[in-house]
Amino acid sequence: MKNFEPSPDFVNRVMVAVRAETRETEPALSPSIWLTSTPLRWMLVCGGAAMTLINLVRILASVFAPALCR
Amino acid sequence: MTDTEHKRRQLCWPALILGMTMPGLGQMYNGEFLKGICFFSIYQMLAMIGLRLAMHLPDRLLVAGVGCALGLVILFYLWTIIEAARTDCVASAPKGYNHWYFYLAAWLVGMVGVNGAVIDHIRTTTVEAFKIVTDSMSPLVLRGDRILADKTALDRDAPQVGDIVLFVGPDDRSKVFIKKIAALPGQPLPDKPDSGETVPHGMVYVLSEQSRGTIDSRTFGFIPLRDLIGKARQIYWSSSDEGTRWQRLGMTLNKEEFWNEN
Repeated sequence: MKNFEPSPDFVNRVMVAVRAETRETEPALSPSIWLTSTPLRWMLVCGGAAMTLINLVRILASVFAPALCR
Repeated sequence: MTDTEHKRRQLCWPALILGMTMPGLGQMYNGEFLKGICFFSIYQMLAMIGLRLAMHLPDRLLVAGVGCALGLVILFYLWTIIEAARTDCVASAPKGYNHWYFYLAAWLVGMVGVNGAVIDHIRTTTVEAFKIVTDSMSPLVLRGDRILADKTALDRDAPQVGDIVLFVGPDDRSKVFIKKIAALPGQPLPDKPDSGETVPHGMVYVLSEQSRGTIDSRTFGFIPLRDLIGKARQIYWSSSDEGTRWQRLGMTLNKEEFWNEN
């Protein structure tokens, strides 16, 4: 509590503490924040599903996509 | 709270979406970094080991075995997505690496780097598909056949006379040829038995099934054993201008079996 005792730079110290506290309580830039919007969430799910399909086609093509042979 | 609301809250959307882009990435979002790495590694190992084991199956079961191995890989991928999405990501808060650039970097390293290298490794050392574009091996292999080449076969067993093999072209190494082995080192040339000439050490003599208008050892000479890249084993698809040749699907490329069946 020493920081909050009367002093010439009292306001400055309080504001520094407040800003630090504010930063701590701000949520990190997390994907979950973007997903609160339902249309955006479904767009991202569709994008993710497309990525899944691409990955699966890629692993299948690793074996079954033919090279030419004479 | 109703059951439906409870289930909706349980579904972790970010983990679902990240898990879709790469096996294990959803687990990483849920704070289970090591589990994510393990799942990604298992995905790659299943593909490599599963396909290598499939190469040990008999010729007739090769395509089915390869299909099963890939099916297992796909099922595991889908399971990792579900597992990540059903984890309560509110309870297991993401760790300090929870930034978009971490996930982008993980995806680039995992799916572009590691997965690309694994796919390249599989095609180089285990199994590769080829489409036949000439009739030089007709009627055993027809133009339009798609075959699976086993690249482990020549490491397991020494090549034999009659094997249908693939090799890089002696004049143009970007081209791959399919021919049958007609003579091994030390053996006389089958088309010139009276010449006394034998196949040199470390070489093989390869011939087409058709003698006219094709190129083989009669035109480009002996083929070094190190240029053999695999053994043709089974047809997984076959089509011509008239359509799909259903009767050829699954046909094995063992010369003796072929002549016994026909």
